[in-house]
Amino acid sequence: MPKQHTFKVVLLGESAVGKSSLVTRFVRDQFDPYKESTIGAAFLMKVVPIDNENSANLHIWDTAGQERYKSLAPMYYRNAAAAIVVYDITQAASFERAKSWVKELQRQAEPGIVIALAGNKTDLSDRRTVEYAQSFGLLFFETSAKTGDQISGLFTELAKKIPIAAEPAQLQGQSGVNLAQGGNAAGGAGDCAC
Amino acid sequence: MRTAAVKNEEDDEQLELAAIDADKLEGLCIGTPIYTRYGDEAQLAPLMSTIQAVIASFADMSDPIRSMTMGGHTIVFYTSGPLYLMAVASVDEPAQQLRSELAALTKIFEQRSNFDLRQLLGGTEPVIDQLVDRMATSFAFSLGSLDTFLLAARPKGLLYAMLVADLKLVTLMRPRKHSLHPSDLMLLFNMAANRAFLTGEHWTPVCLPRFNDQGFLHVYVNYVTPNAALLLVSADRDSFPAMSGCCEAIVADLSSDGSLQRLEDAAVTACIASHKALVQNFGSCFDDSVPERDQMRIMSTYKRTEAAYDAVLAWQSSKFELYATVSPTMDVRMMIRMVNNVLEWIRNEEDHLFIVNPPSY
Ligand SMILES: Nc1nc2c(ncn2[C@@H]2O[C@H](COP(=O)(O)OP(=O)(O)OP(=O)(O)O)[C@@H](O)[C@H]2O)c(=O)[nH]1
Ligand SMILES: [Mg+2]
Repeated sequence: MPKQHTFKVVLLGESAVGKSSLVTRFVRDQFDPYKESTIGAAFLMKVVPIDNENSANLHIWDTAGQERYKSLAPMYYRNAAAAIVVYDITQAASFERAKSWVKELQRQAEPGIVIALAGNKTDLSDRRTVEYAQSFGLLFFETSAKTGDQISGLFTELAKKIPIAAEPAQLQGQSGVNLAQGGNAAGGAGDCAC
Repeated sequence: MRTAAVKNEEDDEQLELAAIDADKLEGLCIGTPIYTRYGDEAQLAPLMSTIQAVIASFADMSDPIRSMTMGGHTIVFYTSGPLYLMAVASVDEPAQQLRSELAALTKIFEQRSNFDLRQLLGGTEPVIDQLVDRMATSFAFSLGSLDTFLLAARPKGLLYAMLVADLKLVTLMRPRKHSLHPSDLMLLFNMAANRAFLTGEHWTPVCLPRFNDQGFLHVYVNYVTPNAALLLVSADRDSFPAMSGCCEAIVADLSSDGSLQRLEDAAVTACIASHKALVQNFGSCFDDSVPERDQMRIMSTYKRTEAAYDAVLAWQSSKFELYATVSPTMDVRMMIRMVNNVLEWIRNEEDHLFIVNPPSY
């Protein structure tokens, strides 16, 4: 039995770029062309092998991308070991949004957080408006939640890049979900949903 | 009948209003429209300017405009600070009822009046649409009370735990000192009805204005069966792991005695009863065999019955209200006998039909 390490991973990005679809493809191998926009955040788990001795139990927070949830993001990326910032390759504005998420994470999230940039919807490459390659030294993948293209590669490579030491001490050796403990909050949530 | 509301800019206002082929249209605006139930608020812009003109022309008078009738439509206005709400109904719903629905909506929009409401509302349209749709066919809104069902469960260490099946409260656990206001519960139910929650675990902040309109609580939402959601409400934003564990325990508990299965099989009853002391009502769902149009018509009849009598029988006592619709050809004595039977049955089964003593801790 490989040793299992629990890591918190957060997905960020503009609404409708396909964050929930990416996670659903990865965790359940399903795709819904009429996915409802996320409210708050959804939580999913999946174990991926890292090497012969270790595997990563990813605790994934799929956040809501809509503007009104923006101020809640710190609550979800707090203490995350890794983040996937997603944009839609057919929407230039979503790439701009992704860049500002990366900056916010570098400024406010846990130091040493592993960030991956994912350009989603490669199946629509005939409508591409964002060119490949500007990855700013981050882990970079172009994916399609619809076809499954590069999805497991994205999560597996991300898991491999997380230093095992990034597992919070209180999570070691326990399988339960025990996220978001301690640490100083990078700002609470400001808006209410009513 | 979901149709785009207004398209033709050069039409005069009479024609524009006639072009509204919706059962009911509700909208509100600050200079520009920010939410509309039917169509797209951008398409409403020309109509909105007409409405503003109408409202403004009455604003100088001490008595602001409340409603007007135009062709087959009743138009109801409700102003609250900077918000203008308007409802256009083609069904003959009483203006009073429309106004109270608009008033309920204002409370939601009012919370953050200093922001661009449209941006804040981004993505909430489905939730508000649901709320408005539900007002049209649910008794809970018009009676200001809750639907109940029967069952029992045991939670630990959280503010509120509730199981909601098909918008009915199956069971509620609460601390001794805090009861949940029906309108807050309604917000939770309505939110939980969103399809976004159908798979997996969710954690979202929510403001329950009657509980505390300055802050917000955190809600764990998990559909434990295809149509029953477990809602765990906590004041601590870091308590997701605890809620998740609690959910697991409750599901294990409910599955072991077959409760979850019974929930899925539950049948719908035909009468509506509202227990005044317990602010709960029972059996408010329409059978699927009743077309939506008829549901709206019957609801609107029920609502009017509060003032006038129609083909519907309404029984209002100090303890409860009962509304029943029967075939119009049914003999009156027969109807009364039937309703008496229903009442007697409800009295006998009160402990099971209503949550008389919600477990507290
Ligand atoms: N063609 C194509 N469509 C996709 C892909 N991924 C997602 N979509 C579609 O894009 C829409 C939005 O996807 P979601 O997964 O809900 O987007 P999201 O980023 O979670 O949005 P929010 O929850 O609002 O933040 C849905 O209609 C999906 O079916 C993809 O790879 N290719
Ligand atoms: Mg989503």
